[in-house]
Amino acid sequence: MQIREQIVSSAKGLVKTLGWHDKVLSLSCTKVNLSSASGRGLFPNGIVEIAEILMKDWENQLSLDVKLADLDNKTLNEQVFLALKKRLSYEEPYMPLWKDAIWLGAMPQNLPNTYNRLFSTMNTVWDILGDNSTGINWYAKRALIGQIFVSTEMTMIHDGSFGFAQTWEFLHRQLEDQNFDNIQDLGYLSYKYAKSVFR
Amino acid sequence: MRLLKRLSSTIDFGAKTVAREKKQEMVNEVFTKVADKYDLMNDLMSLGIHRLWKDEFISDMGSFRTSSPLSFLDVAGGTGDIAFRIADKLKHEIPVYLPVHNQITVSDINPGMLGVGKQRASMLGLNLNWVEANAESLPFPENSFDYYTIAFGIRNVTDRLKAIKEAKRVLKKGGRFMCLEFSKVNNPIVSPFYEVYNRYLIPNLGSIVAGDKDSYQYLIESIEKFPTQEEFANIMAEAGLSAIHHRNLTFGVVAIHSGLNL
Repeated sequence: MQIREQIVSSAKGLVKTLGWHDKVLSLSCTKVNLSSASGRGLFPNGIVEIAEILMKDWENQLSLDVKLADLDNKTLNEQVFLALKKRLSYEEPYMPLWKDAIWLGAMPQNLPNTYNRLFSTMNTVWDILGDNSTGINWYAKRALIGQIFVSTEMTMIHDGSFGFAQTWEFLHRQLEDQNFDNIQDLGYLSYKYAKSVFR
Repeated sequence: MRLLKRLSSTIDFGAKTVAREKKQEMVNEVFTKVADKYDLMNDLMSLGIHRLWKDEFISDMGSFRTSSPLSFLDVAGGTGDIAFRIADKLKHEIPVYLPVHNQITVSDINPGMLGVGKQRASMLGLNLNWVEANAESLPFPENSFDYYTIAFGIRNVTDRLKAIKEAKRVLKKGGRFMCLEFSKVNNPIVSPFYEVYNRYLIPNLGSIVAGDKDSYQYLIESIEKFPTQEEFANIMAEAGLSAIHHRNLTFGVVAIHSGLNL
């Protein structure tokens, strides 16, 4: 719907300065010469839908922006760093008010959608890096990277440094701890761990 | 088939079939009789849950914080339940409440119901517009309201399509039509209990508390005859509304339908 697109682009601009509240949705409707009532009519869940649309756009943008040439001659850790950094950089214009969007997304009625978008994004990251894992490895990799991503996003909210330098250092440290370069088969690892516990 | 139905000269009045012209008269009779005890009977029939339904209906309307004043039309809202909730929400959301700027209009075909509403409004100290009008031909100019709400009223309207077309006419561009109404319970566990409750409990309750079994018999039968969620959404689409969606409350006992005039 053309009108829907207009309202979405109007809202995307307004949330950067005004924050994440239903009144911003009403305002973006009036900006395209519609009654403010149409906000909730077109977006039944309110302003969170704009956040979800943004996450979807960023996911698509990520697969276009991270080119194979950038990934050449880099270790797996560095590749993951690059992809996650790119994805987080899309959020820069919306910081620090993005915390309100996170808060809205974490509410029980919105959590399933947020979780789906996040998981889909992490899946895209591994697809870009050419991941071939199967079984428990597939799930574990996406969960690990998801946890790293979310914790880095949290630091980004409170980050006041120039060019978000502290956030990138944090991301670097997280990935070093995780050590994807030397990762063993996670299925075998969990088997060994369980065996050692129940010996 | 639908065209045939429209052309026929009879229509449903609860479970009975009556002449089309007579339905409005008969509905008027019902509501004149129940006007005084309307609120009490609502509480008894729904065990007080109707308040929660109406609260949910209002919260679904979104934020009222806008730069330009809003205008609301509550149709068939005689006793003012929805209108008072809107006024309350406006008071909370807009720091300086200027009643002159935000207009709430309540219309009802039945002067008895309007009278009860006016009384309650004066007790609460609210200033609203009260208009006696038929939902099928509203005495308002086109393009005049942001929200058109009708709660538990559309099943009493003879020609629902005409009423929704009227709603589209009086709504501004982007204005929202919202309807709260009894609907179909599809849940196989809840459905038999609901039917028993409706068929046996409520008319008897009506005769004991309000001394009027027939009116409540009509009310229950009109619930059964009302179209399903999807059928009503189709009627809204036929009237020319866009972005139509509906949501069930309490397993489908009531449903909120929403559409926009775009």
